[in-house]
Amino acid sequence: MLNQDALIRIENVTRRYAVGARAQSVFALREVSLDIRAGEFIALVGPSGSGKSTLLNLIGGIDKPDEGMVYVADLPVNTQSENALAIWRGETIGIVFQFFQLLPTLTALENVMLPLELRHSFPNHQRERAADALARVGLAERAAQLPSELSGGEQQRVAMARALANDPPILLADEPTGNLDSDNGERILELLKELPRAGKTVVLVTHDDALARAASRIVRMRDGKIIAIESNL
Amino acid sequence: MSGNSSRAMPIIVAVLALCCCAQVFGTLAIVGYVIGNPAPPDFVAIIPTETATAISTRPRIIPTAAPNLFPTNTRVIAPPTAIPRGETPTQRATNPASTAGGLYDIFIPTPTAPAMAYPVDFKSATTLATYTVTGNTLTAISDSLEKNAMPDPHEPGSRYYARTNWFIQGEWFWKPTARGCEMDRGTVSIAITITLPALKTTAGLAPDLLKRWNSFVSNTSVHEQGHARLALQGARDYQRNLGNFPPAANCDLLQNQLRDLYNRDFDAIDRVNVEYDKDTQHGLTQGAVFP
Repeated sequence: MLNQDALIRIENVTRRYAVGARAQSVFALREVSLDIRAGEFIALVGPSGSGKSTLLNLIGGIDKPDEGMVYVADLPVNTQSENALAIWRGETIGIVFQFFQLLPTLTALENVMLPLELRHSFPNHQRERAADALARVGLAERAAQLPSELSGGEQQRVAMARALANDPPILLADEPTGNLDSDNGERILELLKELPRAGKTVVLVTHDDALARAASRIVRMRDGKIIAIESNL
Repeated sequence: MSGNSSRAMPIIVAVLALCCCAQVFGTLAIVGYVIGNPAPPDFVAIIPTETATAISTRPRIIPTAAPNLFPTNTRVIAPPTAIPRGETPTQRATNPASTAGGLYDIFIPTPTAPAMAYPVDFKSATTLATYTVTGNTLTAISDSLEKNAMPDPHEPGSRYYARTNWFIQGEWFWKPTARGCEMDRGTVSIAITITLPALKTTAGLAPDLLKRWNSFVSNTSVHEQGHARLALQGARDYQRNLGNFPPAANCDLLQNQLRDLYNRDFDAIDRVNVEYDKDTQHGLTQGAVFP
């Protein structure tokens, strides 16, 4: 039964991709339903091709399902226009990827300021918020550095600061520690674990069970289906 | 048995086909069974089981244009060709000639709930889907069946005229206790879809051919319902195992053990269905043969 109080509701979602010369369909997701409550830390776990990243992309409005609905705070995400989605994403969703996606010619501070420019018209205000966000991830001292001058762990923390700069209620993280050593991975994980305490909802995609155990709920996927949901009381 | 032979030798008995297994349909469910027969209102009954809850009021139709290919995994059955949008069994029932005797009646009793130390809910849904078979001669019908045949992933290159997909989902909660870490509660959900062939029309069919067809569908349905029973029983076994799972020294250990339990019980359901196909020769011994 889906929880009507859920912040994120995924209802019978199917996503197909056409592949090959004959444009045959490959199912990335098949009739997946899931609800995620506000303030929950949920981990989507499964092998490559299990559909976990596709599910994350649907939640973030980066992709659209072929069938089914995705609601975030009762907004039917998959029926929104691209323009509306862009605005909505800026306000509602922070996204962290495995490969940081920082602009190499901008400093750490300027990278974090990027999403703020869409919402906050005063440069000083943007700068303040970005500096705050960097401070929250422990990089206040590194604000003026270019990404190439930062370690992988530091770059990912900048990416997290950027994702959180607008104070979105939801953070989506796709293998955020996949490119980091264990110490830096642990540091990112600690940052992620703090977010639900501040009321934020975290959806983490990982194939790493150890990482997933930080979540309050683990959703296991296989062949585009949810096969198991594990919860720690 | 493969239907390929019927293509090479059109008049030769094409053995049916029934396949099984696999997983699909992970949404939550509904206990009982669906009878898609005759006439409105849809006749949907609930097995008198303590877990019976909601019911599917109308059998679902497999979507059209869905040539599914799974890139990796194994147990998911995916048809190589599109399954044409089939008529629902209810719609079939408007054609008395082809549904005589409740041809598409499905009755699958839900096994009794096991005794459990921890509460584990049980949800199940069984759906009947059909694909359309055309033709009013033996050869034309055979060709249409062959065109729509589906593979069994356990047997590369195989093609069968019916199948049963099942998908099982487990949900569990655990908590640290004085005994270490133990289950608190859970849910086992199983979704089953039986796909059968359905003649588009019986107009122009010779009485003998119609009789053969009806016998074929009826026996095929019996075979597929056997798969569904095995899947349901396997899901009940999983529910019992989950609901009686012993505490572990710590929660990490329990998590691993519960995960292993899911995989083990999933594999057990798959295995027993493969055995069933071996024993029945995919329904051949049950008369699932056309013509």
